[in-house]
Parts: sequence; C-alpha cells; structure tokens
Amino acid sequence: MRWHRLLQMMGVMFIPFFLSGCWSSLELRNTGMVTGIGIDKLENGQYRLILQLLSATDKEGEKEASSSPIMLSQTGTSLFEMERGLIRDAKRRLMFMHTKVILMGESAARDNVLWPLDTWTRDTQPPLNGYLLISKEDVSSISDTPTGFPENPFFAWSKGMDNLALQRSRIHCWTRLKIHVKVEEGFGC
Amino acid sequence: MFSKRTIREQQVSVRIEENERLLRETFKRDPQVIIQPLQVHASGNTTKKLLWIGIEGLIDKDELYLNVFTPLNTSVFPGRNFIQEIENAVGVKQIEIERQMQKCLEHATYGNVILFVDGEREALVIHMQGFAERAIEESAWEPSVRGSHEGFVESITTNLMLIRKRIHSTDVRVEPLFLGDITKTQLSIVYLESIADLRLVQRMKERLSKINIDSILCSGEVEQAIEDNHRTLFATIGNTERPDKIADIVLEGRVALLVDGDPTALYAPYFFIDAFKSQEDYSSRPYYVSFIRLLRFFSFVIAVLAPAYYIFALNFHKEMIPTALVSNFQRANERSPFPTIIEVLIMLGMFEVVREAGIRLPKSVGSAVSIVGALILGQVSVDAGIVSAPTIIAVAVSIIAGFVLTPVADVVSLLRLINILAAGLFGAFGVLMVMMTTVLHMVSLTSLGEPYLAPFAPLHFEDWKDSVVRVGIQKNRNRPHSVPQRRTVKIRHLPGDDEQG
Repeated sequence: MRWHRLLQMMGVMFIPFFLSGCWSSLELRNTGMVTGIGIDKLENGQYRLILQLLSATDKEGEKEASSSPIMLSQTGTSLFEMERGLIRDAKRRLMFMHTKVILMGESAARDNVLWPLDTWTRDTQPPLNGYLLISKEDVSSISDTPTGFPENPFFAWSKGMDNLALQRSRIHCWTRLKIHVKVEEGFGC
Repeated sequence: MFSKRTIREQQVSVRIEENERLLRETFKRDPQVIIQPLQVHASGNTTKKLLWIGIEGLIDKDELYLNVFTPLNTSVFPGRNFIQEIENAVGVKQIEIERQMQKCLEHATYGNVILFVDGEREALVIHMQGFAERAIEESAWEPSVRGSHEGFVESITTNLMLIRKRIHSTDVRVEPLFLGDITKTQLSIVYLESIADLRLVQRMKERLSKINIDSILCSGEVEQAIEDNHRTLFATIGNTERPDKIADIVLEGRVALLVDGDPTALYAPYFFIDAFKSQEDYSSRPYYVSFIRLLRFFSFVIAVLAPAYYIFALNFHKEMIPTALVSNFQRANERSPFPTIIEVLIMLGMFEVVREAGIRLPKSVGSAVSIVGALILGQVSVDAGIVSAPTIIAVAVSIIAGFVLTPVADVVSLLRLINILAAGLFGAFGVLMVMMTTVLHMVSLTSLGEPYLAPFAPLHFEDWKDSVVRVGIQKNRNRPHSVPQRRTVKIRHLPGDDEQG
C-alpha cells in the first residue's frame, strides 16, 4: 500500500515535467525581441503590421547599446499571415513579452479595434501592461519619429503614458489588461 | 618459551633477560626504541638489575634524567618491595603498575617509559610524554575579530585543557576511548553532566562502540562513521577548531568529540541553522548580528540559485529579464558561441580548478594562480568571445555569496550545480522541483537522533530568538529547545530586572 502511494506520488510529480523541458529552451541570440507593434489599415481589406525589434547587432568597437531599432513590416489580411511573413524576414523567433506599445492607425482602429487585441491576449507571450495607442496618422509615418531621447520611440511613448497616467487621472489610460477586461465586460465604459 | 606464545598472552617475566630478549625481538633493530639496562643500589652493598624502554622523540628525556634516573642512582633500596620503593623514589606522580607485556608495549608507543625490575612480575609505567607539538594559534578557517583567538592543536591533552580552561566545573565529563586496532587513536567524549541529556551521550557512545576499524587518523573518518545518514549532501555532525565554540556547545547540552591528532573537534546534534551562526555573533551587539545573519541567509539563496536563475530567465522565461537589460543581454549572447548552460558550466569548472589550485599550492605561488585565474576568467574570456560578461557576473556573484558560508561551502557547490542542470533542462520548474526535493530531504535528516531542521521543523518558536536573527540576552535567557537538555534556564537575573519590577 505504501509503495503504491509512493508510485502514485512519483507519477504525479513526473507528469508536469513534460510541461517544460529543454525543447522549450531558446537562446536569446535566436530571438527577435519585439518592443512595439504598429497596425495600419490599407486598401482592399489589407493591413500592415509593423514590428519594432531590439537591435542586438554589435558593431565593431561600439560599447553602448545601439539606438537604432530594427523595423520590420509586412502586409496581409490576417495577423497570423503577417506574423509568418515577419518571421521569414527576421529569420528568428519573434518574442512579444517585452512589447510596450501597440500603436494603431486611426483608420484601422475605427474599423475594428478589438481583433488584434483579441488575438494577442489569447496568446501567452505578450505582457498585459503594454499601452494601446491610436494615432491620427499612419503608424508607418510616425514610428521613426525622433523623441529627443536616445532610445526607441515605443519605449519613449510607453514612459510618456506612465507619466501622464501619474499626473492626470482623468485621461483614460488603459493598458491592454484593462482593455481585455473591458472587452469581456462588453466595452460599456 | 616466549616464541611459542603470542605476545598478547605474555606476562611480564621474573627474569629480566627474558623481558629484554622479548622486547628486542618485538622492536627488531628500530633505532628509535631505546632499551637499556640499569643498576640500582640495594641493601647489603648489592645491586639490582633494571631495564627501561622508551621511544626516542616521544619521551621527555630531560625529565627522565632529572626525576627518574637521578633518584634511582642516588637512592639505596632496602629490597622488601622493590616496585613500591622505586615508585616512591621516582619524582613522577603518574605511575601505573602493569603485568601484561602487551599493555607495557602499548604504553611505550604512547611515549611512556617502562621500567622492568629483575625478580618482579610487574613493570612500572612512568608517564613521561614529551613530544613536539604545534603552538596554540588562531584557526585559519574560523578567524575572529572579537573574542578568543585560540584554536585547537593536534594534541588531545592540550585541546582538553583549552576546554577545561573555559569551564571550571566539576560537571565536565571527559570520557576517553581508543579506536583503531593499529593506531589506537585516543578519542574523548566531552559533555556537561548537569546539562546534557544523557540519552544523547549514550547514543554517541553506542555509535562509537560499534566502530571496528584498523586506523583513525582524522576526525573526518569518525564523523562519517557516526553520522545519521551516509547518503546526504549535508553534514549532520558539526566541526570546529575553536575551543570557545566547543565550550559553548557543551554548555548548550550538546556532546563534543575530540580526536587525538586532529585539531578539528566534532559535535552533535548539529543543525542546519548552525552553519549560519558564528561564535563571534555572541560578542557583538544583536542588531548588527541580526543584519549579518539575514545577509548570510540571503547569500545562501544567491549562492545556490543565482546561476540557475540566470539560465532559466535567459532561456525559458525571458519575461523575467528587465526590459532595459534585454538589449545588453542579447548583445552579449550574440557574441558567445556556446549555449548559456555550457557557458555557466565552463565558468564554474574553471573557478573550481583555480580555487583548488590556489589552496594546494604554496602561498607565494597561490596568489599568482589567482591573478592568472582572475585575468583569464574575467577579462580575456569575454574579450575572446568564449563566454559572455553577464554569465561571468552571474557565476561570480554566486561564488562570492558562497564564500560567506564556509561551513556549508561543499553543499552550496553541489546544490548550485544540481540547480544549474535542472534549470538548463527544465527551466524554473526544474529548479522548483530540486528545491522542494532538497527541503523535503532536509526535513527527513537527523543529527544524533535530533531533527536537522530544528527550530523550523519541528517548530521551536522560542529558539527563533537565536536563529535567523538574534535578540538581546535580556529577551533570550534559555538554552535552545532544539537540543534536549536538563537545565533550560541559562540567565537567571540581569541588572535591569529589578527596575522593571
């Protein structure tokens, strides 16, 4: 009876090992770290997805972090189609866990603000504390806007939103987690 | 007659020539063994033949000539009872009378002088030990800034003196025993009769009595023989080279064990928490000690987990890396040809090699090794692109944190390695499993029958006053409950007590 219990316990302890293993391991050099996502609506039901990646290429003799991030862009009708295309371009696995901002062009947002969010919140990777921003202009035209600070614009916007939220509580400053909750509640704000 | 019987059964012979022949046969032509005949004056202008044996280097020759030979040469013995008369004449207090030849020879190997008298069936064993020993100096492993700077030496007599010097009580019990069929090493169990739980002493004696071994040369051999669990990473018998610590241990009701020839004393029960305590803690004020103890616990966690954490954060759970650091980590990782776990293992392996080389080499060369080690491991390996700089930091932080805890340094090294492998194979989940298994294993351990994780498991809340933190003596007046003892209260009255009413 005692052995039976022990075997049961060992079995239960052993099963979760399949949840994680060396097959889940991925070296940082094989990843592309996405820091910002931009979505534009084009004509004919097409969308453009712009990803901003942390630049990790080390130029000879350069000690400081490179300030020019990598921009990838892909057009398509669905997010998955575009993402697959982006992986082909990047040649690396794209990781969304450090994404700070999702920026949507106004036309894309007016069309449907929820579907990209819905896709991402169902994934396990993205953090739910990134900001959703909507711009009047196309994302492609502002994503390389200089911010006056030597860092990529998505980080700057994210910090800017943090500061605004601290200073003026009247601004509806929603992180994606909050939006997700709102979506669940039917957006009745 | 002698050759037919073994020396074990042999009695001291009446004829001194027989004794001499046997001694010379036993020791062959050992130049160190001195076997010399003597003559003393007996009544009626006659002489009496004596024979003495001693081992050069083990006996105190000055004392021998002054207190033994001089009185023997100048006295005249009436001859009614020679043994008694010689015993009275000799100026040495510690004298035994022995009939067994084997016992006599054993005494000689301990550095005593044996005196055979012609016509007597008994021999005199004169205690005359006088061999060179190291001076009492501070232990290299357990130095202190404040408090005693004395350390144990190789001689058990000196070590017992160092303990008795600190506890002037008739309750101090020192029980000698001899282990090792060939070496006959002396061991001494030390405890305080009025405080120690005698069941603990009994357990210690039982375990020691079951040892049947050829030789005991160091306390480590005894430790491995008497520990509760032989298949564990954790040491369940404590050891120290500090007499003040052993005095404190004995006063807590624990049992100490000294081994002749080894400056390291053993004690039990030994708890996991003892690794985080230092004798100096009790000389310092409680606030700073509490801070240092917390730091030691923190260091233990860092030492065991830092490289594993680094591996699973980088390879499995990238969301754990601060966003500001991702770029730097990624750039460092780009330049390295190996997977992160291999990098960490290379660094750890190199470090262990440098450390071992540094310890074994003479001090003058040892420092050169550490310089080369630091240069190669630190600077050049990064510049050459063999390992990345963050890996070196993760490993170095872990190793430096491990230096804080010398009593469990071996455990830390192995746990660190196991965690690294678990992190490389299963990520955070693997490390969690390893830590859970480790804690479960630790809970199951005992030291001389007492739970190893006390006062946490079983919970002795009273003892927490001197565990992770140490409160002042005003608030902690009892002996630890984790150690079974017969006298709980340690401090009965302090100056402030009357004012509080």
